[in-house]
Amino acid sequence: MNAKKGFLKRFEIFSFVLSSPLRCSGVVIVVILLFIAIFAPAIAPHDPYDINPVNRLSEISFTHPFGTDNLGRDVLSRMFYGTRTALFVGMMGVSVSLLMGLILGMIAAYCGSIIDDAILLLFDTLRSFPTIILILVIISVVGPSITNIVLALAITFMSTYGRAVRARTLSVKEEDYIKAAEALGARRLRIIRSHIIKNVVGPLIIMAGMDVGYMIALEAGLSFLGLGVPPPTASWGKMLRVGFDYMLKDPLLIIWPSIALFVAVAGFSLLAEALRNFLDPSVRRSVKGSLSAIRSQESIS
Amino acid sequence: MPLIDVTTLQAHFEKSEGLLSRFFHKNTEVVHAVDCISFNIEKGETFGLVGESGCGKTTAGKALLRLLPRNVIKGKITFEDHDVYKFSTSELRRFRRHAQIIFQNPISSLNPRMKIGEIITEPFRIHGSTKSSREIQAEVENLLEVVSLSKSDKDKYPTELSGGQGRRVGIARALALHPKFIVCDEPTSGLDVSISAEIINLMKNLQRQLNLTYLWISHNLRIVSYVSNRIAIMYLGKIVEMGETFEVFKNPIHRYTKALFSAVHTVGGSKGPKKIILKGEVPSPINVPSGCRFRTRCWDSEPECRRKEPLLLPVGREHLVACHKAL
Amino acid sequence: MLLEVKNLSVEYITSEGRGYAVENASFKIEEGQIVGLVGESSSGKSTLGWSIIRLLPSNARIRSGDILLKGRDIIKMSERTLNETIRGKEISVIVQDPQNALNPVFTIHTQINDILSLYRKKTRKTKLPLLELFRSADTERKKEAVSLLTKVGIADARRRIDEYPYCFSGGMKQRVMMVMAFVVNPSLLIADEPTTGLDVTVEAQILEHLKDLIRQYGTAVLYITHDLAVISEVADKVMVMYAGNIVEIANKSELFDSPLHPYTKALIKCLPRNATQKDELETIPGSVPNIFNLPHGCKFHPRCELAKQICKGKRPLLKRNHSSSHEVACFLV
Repeated sequence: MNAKKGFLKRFEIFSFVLSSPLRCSGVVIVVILLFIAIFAPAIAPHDPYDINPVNRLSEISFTHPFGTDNLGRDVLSRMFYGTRTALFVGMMGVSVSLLMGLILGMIAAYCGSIIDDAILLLFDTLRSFPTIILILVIISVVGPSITNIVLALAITFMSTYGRAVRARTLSVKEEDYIKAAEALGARRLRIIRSHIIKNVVGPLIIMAGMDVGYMIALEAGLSFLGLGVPPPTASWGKMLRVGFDYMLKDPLLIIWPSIALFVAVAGFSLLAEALRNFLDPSVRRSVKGSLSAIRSQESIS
Repeated sequence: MPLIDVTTLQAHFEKSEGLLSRFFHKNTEVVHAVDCISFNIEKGETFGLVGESGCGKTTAGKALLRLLPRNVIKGKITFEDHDVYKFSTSELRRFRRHAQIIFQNPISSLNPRMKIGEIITEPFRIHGSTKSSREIQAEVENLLEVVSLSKSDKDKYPTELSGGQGRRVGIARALALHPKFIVCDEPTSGLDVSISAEIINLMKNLQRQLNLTYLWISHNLRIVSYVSNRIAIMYLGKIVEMGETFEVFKNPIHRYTKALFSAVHTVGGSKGPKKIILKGEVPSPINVPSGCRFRTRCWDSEPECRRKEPLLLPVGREHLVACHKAL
Repeated sequence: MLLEVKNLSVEYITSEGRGYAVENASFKIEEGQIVGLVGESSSGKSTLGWSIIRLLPSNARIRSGDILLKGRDIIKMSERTLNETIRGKEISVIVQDPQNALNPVFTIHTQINDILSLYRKKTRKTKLPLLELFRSADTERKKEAVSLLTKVGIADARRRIDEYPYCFSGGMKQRVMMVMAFVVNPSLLIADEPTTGLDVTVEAQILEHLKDLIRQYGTAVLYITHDLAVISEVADKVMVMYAGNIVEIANKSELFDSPLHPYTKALIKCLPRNATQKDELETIPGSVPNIFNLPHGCKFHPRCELAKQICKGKRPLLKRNHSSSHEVACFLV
């Protein structure tokens, strides 16, 4: 009986996703992007770093489906490799940011008084800088490399997660079930591990999902300004720069990375939205029946 | 030797202010949740702690189990003659096995992201039980049966349970470590009458079978009178009357106790004795009235009631009252 | 006859299925009569109360029946007429949780004033110049509001009326609700668990004030609660509901002295009477059925010790028993 229920639960996810074309497309896009990123070396038709000045700015052809850029490199292959950069920076950036925010936020919530105030001060200071400026400052100090970019993005964004974690931890800490665990004799670490984290992380995952798209866009922006990943690494931002410089000579060069960026950001946003809807029981149930089950449960008395 | 002995317990909470106020210590307001109460609980009995919201009964219950921060508590609480607030970390953990609590809200005291089975397994895990996983599961199932839940409830989440079922899970969890003493914080609040009756019967049976001692905290006078051997009435952080339940019930002396008992409706078509309607509201625990705290609502108050605080003094066998006009 | 409800059925449509929260409910309320509606959770009592003014959640439907207020058909009335003439005018409501019933961003005065000005508009007829009219009307209304609040036991009303709801305790908010409900002089008041969750002594105070107001305005009341004790304090006539059906209707004294339906009897026995009672409390075996999965025949039969074959077949209807004022829905009485 229980096995059956677990089995059906998996189908629930599928039916939920398939029920809406928007949700579906979000998942599909992200899956395709991941595939491209992972298998880029296998599926790219050419070496993206292969400079071939003879063949520069060529048109769409069979050998070069998207043409070549100003240095004769195959655009399509660079797009594929650019996916790797974008996804790495986006997903790693968010993960590291989330982790740092989680740790600092929990310390702030648990220690209170001076430590709490100090951490909040740190968060507020970080937030008072305009995002781009902060990232530029950090990169100019530590130098541009893909790891440093991830780090810079993480530091910039951690205050948002940190504050959210702190607020949520403060409220969860006072819940009855935490007191119950205390009453049972649980040590603090155990309480944090078994009870608090589970209840704090949920909404953050959604926030994080949405921020992946934002980070991808930021990375592209940095690369566009020439402050992103160093050459020869492929990046959509750098392709945008090239496309921008050669806009009059070959307008298509700017279009391909733009589309890629758009698709990636949209895809991740849709996925995050779908995740949020899935985890929100009132919306989820309304997909199956006509109206919210929670409301009906409240009113039957 | 009583199981629990409370002497001049006091719990004062400071309302926390912002950073600057903390620096200058300006006007921190103090909530006098519990103010110098003393009582003891004998092994095997049910001690009822009665009062309305804000009287401090829940705070007192939590204080007994050392669930409040240390700086808030003054006074002495002993469990089997050992000072609870002087326990070392390991002694405290051992104490937790013997003294448990059932929380007021049945569902919110259960982690919404844990299954019922996991929730009841947790006490075993926390105390590093030497039993095998299978043995622990068998005990969990046994506990579910004891509280009249079915095995299939093990895989449910707290939000899928009704109030009565949630309450039973709380009881099962409290029983897992074979405690000697359980603080029951409003065990029947929010439950339908028939479910409430089932829970009360269950708890009484368990008490008999497992030789438990209960501190029964409630504002429902009818139920507390039914279940407890001795009873203490609290008002605004103080015990105003205390004694054997039957004695206090038959002969309430403190004016507040009289009002409380008369407000408990008699069920039936016939009219009961005239109800006493108190005037005004309960004062704030931040600004307690001088002298007798009940004087602002008492129909019998005199000038002395404002000047001097009445002490809890015996007026009969096993019957104490804090009132200047008791005798 | 103030209110007559005939064969009312209300259905809920949810993702877990469809079910009748109220089935074939029929009863009458006379002018000035206080009728108690008693039931445990999921009995449908709140649904029944709110369906009288058609304020049901969007996934509920009135499937059949008539609701006649002074002869006017409420079910067939348009939403607009219902709003303009019935809700908050002929029929008032006070709800369970006073914490959320008042708007937190307006002062008490503003909220009472809202109602007074709407109500008084109909009866205004003076010839003062417009500005004077507004000003004097305002002070008049404030004076009236203050006096009403004082009457229901709010001390220092003149100062407190300008405070916001968060300064008021639960009991005081409930008193404000009562004032707002009665000031429009309704013919019927629907009270949905107004004292549940309040302290015992506050409850006693509120009930006293409520009875005073009822006497003063001569309003009929439908008092919905799960607390039998409160019902015995307040009501003239009592209706007992179980899983969507009204299973017994009787005068208060008849109901408590000689209950007929097995559920009513069981419910009364579940309450511990006093401190001298030392034996086990009576309980009702089983649990309340889920409205999506109701038993056939009498809904109570799976838990009834007297159940016979006939109880499993058909649903019993409310029938008069002996006296004309005592109705029961049971085959076995």
